[in-house]
Amino acid sequence: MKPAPFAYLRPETEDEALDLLREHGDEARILAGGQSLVPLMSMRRVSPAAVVDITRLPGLAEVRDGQVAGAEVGGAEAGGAEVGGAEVGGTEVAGTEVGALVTQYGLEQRAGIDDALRECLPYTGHYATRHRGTVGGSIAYGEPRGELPVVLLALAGRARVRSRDAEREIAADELYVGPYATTLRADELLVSTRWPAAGLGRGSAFTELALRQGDFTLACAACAVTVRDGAIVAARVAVGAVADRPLLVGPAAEALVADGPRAAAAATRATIPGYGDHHASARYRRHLAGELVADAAARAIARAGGAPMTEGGADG
Amino acid sequence: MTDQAVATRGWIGRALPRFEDEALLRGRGRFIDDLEPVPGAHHAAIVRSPHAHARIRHLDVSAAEAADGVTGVLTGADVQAMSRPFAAAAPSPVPYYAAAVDTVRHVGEPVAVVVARDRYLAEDAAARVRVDYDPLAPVLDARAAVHDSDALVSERSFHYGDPEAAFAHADVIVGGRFDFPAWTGLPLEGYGVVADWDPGAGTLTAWCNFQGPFTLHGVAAAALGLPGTRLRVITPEHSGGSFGIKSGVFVYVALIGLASRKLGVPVRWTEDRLEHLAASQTSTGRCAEIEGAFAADGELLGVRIDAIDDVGAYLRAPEPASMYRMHGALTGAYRVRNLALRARVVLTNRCPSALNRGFGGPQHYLPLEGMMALGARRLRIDPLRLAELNLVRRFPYETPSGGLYASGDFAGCLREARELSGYEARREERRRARRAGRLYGIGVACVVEPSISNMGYVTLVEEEASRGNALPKSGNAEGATVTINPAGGIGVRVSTTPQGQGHGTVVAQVVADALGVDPSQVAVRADADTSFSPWTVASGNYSSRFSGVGVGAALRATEQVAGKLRAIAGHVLGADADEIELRDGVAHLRGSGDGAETTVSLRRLAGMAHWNPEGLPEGLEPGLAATAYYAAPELAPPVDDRISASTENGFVVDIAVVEVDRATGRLAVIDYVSVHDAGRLLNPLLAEGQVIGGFAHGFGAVTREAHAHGADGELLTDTLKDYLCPTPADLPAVRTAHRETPSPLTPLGAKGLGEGTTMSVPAAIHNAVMDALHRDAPIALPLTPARLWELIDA
Repeated sequence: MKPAPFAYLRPETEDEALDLLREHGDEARILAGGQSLVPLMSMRRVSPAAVVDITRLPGLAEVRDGQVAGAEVGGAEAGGAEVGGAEVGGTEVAGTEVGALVTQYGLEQRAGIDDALRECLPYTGHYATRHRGTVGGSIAYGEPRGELPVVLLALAGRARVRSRDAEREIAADELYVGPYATTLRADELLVSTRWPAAGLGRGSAFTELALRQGDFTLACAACAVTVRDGAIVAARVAVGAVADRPLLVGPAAEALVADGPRAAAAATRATIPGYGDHHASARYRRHLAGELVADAAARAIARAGGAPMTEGGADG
Repeated sequence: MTDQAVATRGWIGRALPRFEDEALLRGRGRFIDDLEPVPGAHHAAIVRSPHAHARIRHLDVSAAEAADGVTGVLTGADVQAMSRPFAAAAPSPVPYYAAAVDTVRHVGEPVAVVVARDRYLAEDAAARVRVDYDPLAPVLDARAAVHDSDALVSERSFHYGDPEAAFAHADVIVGGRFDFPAWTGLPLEGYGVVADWDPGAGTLTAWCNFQGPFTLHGVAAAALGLPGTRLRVITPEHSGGSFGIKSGVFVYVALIGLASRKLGVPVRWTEDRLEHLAASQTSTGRCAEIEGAFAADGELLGVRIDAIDDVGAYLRAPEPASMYRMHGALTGAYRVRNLALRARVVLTNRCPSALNRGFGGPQHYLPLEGMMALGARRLRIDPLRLAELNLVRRFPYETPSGGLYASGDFAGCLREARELSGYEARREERRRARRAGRLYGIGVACVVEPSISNMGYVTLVEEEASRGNALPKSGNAEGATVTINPAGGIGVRVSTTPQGQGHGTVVAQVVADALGVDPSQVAVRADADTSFSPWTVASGNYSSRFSGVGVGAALRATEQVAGKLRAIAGHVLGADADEIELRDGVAHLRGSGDGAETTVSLRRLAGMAHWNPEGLPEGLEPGLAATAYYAAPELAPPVDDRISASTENGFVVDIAVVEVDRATGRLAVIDYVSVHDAGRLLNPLLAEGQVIGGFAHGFGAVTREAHAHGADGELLTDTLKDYLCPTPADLPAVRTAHRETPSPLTPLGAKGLGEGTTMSVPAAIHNAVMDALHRDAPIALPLTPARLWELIDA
């Protein structure tokens, strides 16, 4: 269990890092916390020609609270659901910007972050790995069973990325395109992620079932809702470990707005492909994802101050 | 217990923390990979089969041999030319070499060994070995394999009493198929070997984290064509755990030894986790069908078992012992006299099996106790009551298959478990939960836990007639050396090769009592050196044999030294040796004060034995050392297919209370009670550790651990992301109690207890889940949420 030979590159500045990424392109892998990359290299399941260690770059380990752009809950066309084109949140909402090198444990210790985000962090790895594993790494790796991508989707978060020439933001909805595949280009570095925070009338929750906490989940779900006058006016529902990528489930969000959590569970089961392995069948994972969506939705609604609509919809 | 009672009993029986822990907790452990016993060892990387079954069309190692830093390569062809197949306890249809010759038969089977200056270079070069495989259909189904003469290792049938009549007269017959998949002990530390071939002496020295030597030293030596004296096996002082799995290290003693011999350099190899999961060793997989014949009043009249053991790709010694380890206790805790067993052993394309904590016990009690649960359900008798009705009550008890339960109080343990569990309240809670639609269940397991194996049991695999020519076998002996140096320092050497069980602490307690000193003054080494430490063909760490024979040997040797101390003291004080008492580091003249005329220190006595042989009583040898061996009584080779397969038999009663979540299939253990009778507890703290550790091992098997293969035989559980053993955070609390019915067969009355809960937990939890789900048939292991939900949803 020793890696194949590789060039180890440790830039001291972001510009230097971006130069290296442009130079090495697909041949390079970025090393942050190393909790996925290093074991994969040791097992020779990946053998990059170069490893760009970004852990010395300044400024990437900070968490900032403030306004995060364009992060409204809703937008049916983007996989969320809302009632009658309700304006929810606007384009600037309170939120948290998390530097790429912030560790999962570090963020877990931070007060005032979104509920779903807080709830998912203990599941992202074991205690020891969460001290090294980074939020940016989890988002950029695109593990189909990962928790943080699911929450980023549910919250309509965004990833800030930079290359030598430009900086851009990628909406969570646009980020994941396949197993371990994202729309980040090989010369781009993820510098931070932006997570809208729960506010008045808004609530979120995350839940999962794993055979062993900290390991790959059997399925996980995150929901974010906006409640006005006791009724859900907008919702987003995302699930993990049931497809080749983290999924935003539009029909589940619509069902949640219309008929509540049990309906969202049924819509989830009807929508997602499911994924079977020796731990669980695809049929079970579809069922479980529905249960988890119902649970996350009910808790998100309660947090948003809405009536518990758990009996409103069709049962799964 | 009062202080007075503690003082009377001495150090034995006290919950003394382990002396071993200080070094381990300070990071001062010296494990195999820390040792540099010879300078300049080269590093090995092993090229392994990615296929479960394939013919090797062509093997090309030229690019690897030419790679940077490479010393050379050992191939399967070299192994075949330089060694003989490993012997096992039965003839095998397939010869077993340390590396594949022309066919690979399991994922991870060694094909070549690349040796280089360091492990990185060795792995780089290993990637350049070209193997052209022609994949073959793998055999993964043990039930299908019995029809294939190349896969069937052995088939035997045993009849005791009159099972046919019992089943003919039964009011109720229940049974089912209970399969126990292969799982593992998952030690933190994998295998490791440093091999040094001395061409001048024709001797191989192998430092390795083996848990022997026992019979397997001889197996490795024979494969290498060496007389036993020319294979010196040395184990490190510290081990990163084994749970039986490291008995397979002997295969790599041969493989790495051959690499050293071919290449003329010392070679070291440290197994990595990928190698460990794919190819170290697993438990024996078992497919069992069982039937129980009951009278309407609950009396168990007869048992029929049809068991197929899957030993993997090769018959690895001591297999097929897993099938026969439980032979004396086939009827478990019950008085039933009519028993039939059909025992078949097959090869498949899985990793070879052998020892894993419980060895044959978990596989036996899952069906036996499952049958009792099904019987209780059919008879509408509470399962604990049904067990109680059938328990063995008079001791000594001889089982129909030849086992001897020398002492015990099975009924007392059961009563205590009932009380500790709050059994009636649990039943009431179950009624309430069920009314509310919850899936709440209670499961019971009663387990006779054999310890100190009679090595003769393995010969049951042979028909009685063909056993005749071989040397009769009943081995179980252990050896120990006790030395007192000129300054009065006490050293003990045993060869029990602990892997974390704290043998050193317990030996120190025992020796301290026998010599009247503090245990901290006793230095114990329990690692083995087959050239220089006292051992027998039974020596090693398995079958929970330490507290009986390991301690027995240490006690015998200490008693000899103590006798000599008393003789010298008597000579000095002008008294008979039997008037001398050893206490607080001083020899006292019994019944007198503590004045200078009536005492003499141990240190002074030791000085005399070393410095002044002339001053010793007549006829006494100089020096203060003794080596002694101890074998437990009442073990004999098999007669009429009946055998007392183990010296001692402890008892365990477990009661599991579980709930299954209807929505997700998730299993929660609400309460778990485990009551043990392992005879006298030499150290209750270590005993508790064994019970909890055994629980975790069994809990893993029943809830999530099993090796899984895809349709082409590929290993799906090849990393720790997919092979999930429970961590401490995943374990439910276990409430324990101990009763102590002393063994009449071991010197201090102890019975083994390292494996009992591994045997009982899968059965108890499986029974509880059957109860929760109202099942009349067994459920396949492991009991994952997905599997349970599929049953709930069906």
